[in-house]
Amino acid sequence: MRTFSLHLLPLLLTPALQAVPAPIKPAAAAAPEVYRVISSFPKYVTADIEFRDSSGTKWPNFFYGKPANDAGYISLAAPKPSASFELLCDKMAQANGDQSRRVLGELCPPGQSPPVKLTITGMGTLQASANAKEKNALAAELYGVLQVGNVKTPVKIAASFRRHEGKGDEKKSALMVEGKFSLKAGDLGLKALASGTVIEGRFGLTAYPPQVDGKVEK
Amino acid sequence: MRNFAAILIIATIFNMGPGVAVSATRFDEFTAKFKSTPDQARVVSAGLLGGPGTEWLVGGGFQPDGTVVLAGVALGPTLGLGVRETVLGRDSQISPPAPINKKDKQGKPELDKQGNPKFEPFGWNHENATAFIVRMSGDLKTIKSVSRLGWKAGGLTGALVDDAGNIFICGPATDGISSLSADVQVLAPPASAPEKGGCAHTYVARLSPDGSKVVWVRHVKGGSSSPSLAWDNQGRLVFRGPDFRVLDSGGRQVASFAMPGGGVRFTALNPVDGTIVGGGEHHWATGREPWRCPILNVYRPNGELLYQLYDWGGPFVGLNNLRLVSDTAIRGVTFDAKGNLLIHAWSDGGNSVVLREPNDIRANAKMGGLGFSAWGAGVLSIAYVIKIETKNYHVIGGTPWMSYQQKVNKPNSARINALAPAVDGSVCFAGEATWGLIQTGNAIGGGEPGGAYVAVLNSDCSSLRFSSAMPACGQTIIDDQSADKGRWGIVSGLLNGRPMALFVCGAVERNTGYDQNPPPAVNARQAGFGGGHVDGYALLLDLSK
Repeated sequence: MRTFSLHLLPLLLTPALQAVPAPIKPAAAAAPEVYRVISSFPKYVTADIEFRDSSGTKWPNFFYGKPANDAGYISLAAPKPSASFELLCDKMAQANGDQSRRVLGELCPPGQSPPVKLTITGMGTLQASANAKEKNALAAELYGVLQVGNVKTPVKIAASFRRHEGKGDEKKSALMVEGKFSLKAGDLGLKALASGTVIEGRFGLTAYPPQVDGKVEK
Repeated sequence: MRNFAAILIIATIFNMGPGVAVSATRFDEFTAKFKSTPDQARVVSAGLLGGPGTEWLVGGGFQPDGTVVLAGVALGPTLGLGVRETVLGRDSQISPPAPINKKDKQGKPELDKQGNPKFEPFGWNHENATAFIVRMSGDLKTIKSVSRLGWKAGGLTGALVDDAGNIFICGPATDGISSLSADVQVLAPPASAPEKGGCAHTYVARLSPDGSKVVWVRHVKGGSSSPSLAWDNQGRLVFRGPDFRVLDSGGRQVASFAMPGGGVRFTALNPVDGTIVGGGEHHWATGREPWRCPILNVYRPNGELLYQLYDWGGPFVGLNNLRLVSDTAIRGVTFDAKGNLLIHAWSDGGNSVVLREPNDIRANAKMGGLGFSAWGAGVLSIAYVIKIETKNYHVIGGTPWMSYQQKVNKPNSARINALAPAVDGSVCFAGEATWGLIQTGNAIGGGEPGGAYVAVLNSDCSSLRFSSAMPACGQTIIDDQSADKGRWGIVSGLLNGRPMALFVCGAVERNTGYDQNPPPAVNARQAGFGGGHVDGYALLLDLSK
C-alpha cells in the first residue's frame, strides 16, 4: 500500500473528478476605503448646504452644487481616517423674489446666490453612529471653514457616513455624508438677526468609490 | 411538514406585498371609513336644467331672499326653459351648434368602444356662447325668472351675487356686448397683454337682482384666458381678463394689476392683502430630475415677484438625500375669504415636493388629510388638495387624492379640474377618476365608482363630507383655469342662513364611461334630458352640520 502513491489517485477518478481544481488565491489585502469627492463625476449636483434659524422665525436657505475640484477625498481607513474636500454650492433654491424673510436673506439679492463654500481639512475619530436609525453608519467630526459670500468662519461638523449599497445605479457603493453644525448670526455678519442668534447648518454630499468612472451606470 | 410551513410563510410574505391580491384593499378600507362620516353634507337637490338647445351651467350665487341664481352658457338657437325669458340686448344670427369630431394624432376620427364617433366637448369660448341667468327657489324646484344676453353678445365664465342680490357676470365678448345697457364703457387695454388666450375681448356686467336689466357693462380688448370674478377685502369686484381690474359697484375702475407671466397659467387674487398667486409648471430636461417642476409664485399687487414656493428646481430635488423626483405641477389656485391659499396639484408618483412645506423642503407638510397613501403605485396621476395660510405660507391642511383598485391593493388615478372654498371653510372640488373613487355613503351616482365626480372635504381636509361619482356630468369646458380644463363651477354661500355648496356643469343624457347611468337626480325639478347636446346640471349641498 505504501507504493500506492497518492499521485496515482487521479487515474482512478472519473474525468469530471479529474478536473484540476482552481488554485486558491491568497486573500487580497482589503483596499483602503477611500471615496472621491470630485467635480467631474457625476455630472449632476451632489452636494447641498442649508441654514435655518433655530427659533423658526426666518425661512431656511438652501444652496446646492458640486465639489469645487477633483482633488477631494474621504478616507475611512483605520486607524487614521481623513478627509479633504471643498464643496461649492453656488446655486440657491427659490432664489427669485424677496429674500428678506430667509435666514440669510440680507446676503441674497433677489435672483442672485452668494457662493457658499465648505472647505474640509480634517477629520476626527471614526465611530459607530449614535443614531439608531442609521444602521451601519459611522460618525466623526469634520473640521474646516465655511464661506458665505465674503465671510469665512471656522466650523466643526458632526458628520455621519452611510455606505449606499445601491441597485446598479451610479450610487452603487457610494458614501452618503451628512453633517450638522451651528453658527451664530454674528459669525456670518448678519445684521437682521441678533448676533447671538443660533443658526443651524447642515450639509449633504454623495462621495463615490474610485472605480466608478465616466458614464453613469443605468 | 417543515416544507409546508416554509411555503406558507413565503406565500404570506408575498401576499402582503404591494400589488398582490389581498382580502381587504384600501378601496374597501377607505370606502368603509368614509361611509358615514359625522359631518356629511346633505343633498338638497340634484338635477338637470336644460331646454331643447345646448346649454350648461357655470356658476351662480345666493340672494338674500333665498333665491338661488344659476348662470350659464347657451349655444342657441333656443333656450326654452319653460319660462318666458328676458332678452338683454340685441340678438345676432345664430345657428345650431355642430359637434366637432375628436381626432387622434394621425387626424383620424376617434371612436368609442361601441364604434360611435367621439366629439370634442363644447367650451366657454364657442362662437355661439351666450350668457343666461336663471333664478330659482331655494330648493331648485321652481324657476322664478330666466334672462339671457342677446344671442352671441357675450358668453359666461364667471358669476357673483352680492349681499344685496345684485348679479355680476363676466365672459368672452363680441361687439354685440355694447347693446346690453345704456351704461357701456370700454376699459383701456392692458399695458402688456398675453399674446395667446382663449379669447381677445372680454366683458364684466352688473345685472339687477331680478336679472331683468343690465345696469352697466365694462369691456376690454386683449388676449385673455377665461375671465373670472372675485371680491377683494373691501367688497370691490375683481375682474380677471387680460389683466386684473378692480371695479366698484358702480362699474368705476379703481385699480388694475398686471397678469404674471413666465410659465404661470393659473392666477388668483388674495382678497385680504391684494397679492396675486400664480401657479403652473416648468420643465427640466436632464433625464435625472423631474421633468415637470411646479411653479407657485406670489406677486405684489404691482406684479413684482414676492415669493417662490415649492419651486426648488430639478437638480436640487434630485439630490440623493431628497429624491423628490415625481413630476409635479400646480394645476389650479384660489383663495378663501380669510386669505388662505387653496391649490390643487398633480404628480405622477408619490415622491412629490408638495408633500413638504412650500418654503422648507426638509419639513413634512400637514398633508396627512384623509390618510390616502400612494404606496404600491406605478406611474399614475395623483391629485393633491392643499390649504396654505398666507402669513408664513405654511400648509394648514391637505391631502393626496386618488382612487384605489379593489382586487389588488394599489392606487388608481384621480384628477381635479375645479376647486373652491366653501363659506364654512370646507373645501369643494371636482374632477375625473379612474375606477375606485372613494365615495361617501350619501353618494348619488348609483353606478360605478369612477368617471366624473364631486367631493367636499372639511376645513383641514381630514374628513370626506361628500364624494360621489357623477355619471354623464362634467361634459363641457366651462373655463381654462385648471390644467385639465375646468368642467365644474363651484359656488358657496349662505342660503337662508345655511352654508351651501352648489356644483354646476354641463351634462349629457347618459354616461358613456363606467356605466350608462343618466345624471343623478335628487328632488329634481326636471324629469329628464331637455334636448340639444348638453343640458345644465346643478347639485346643491347643505353643509350645515
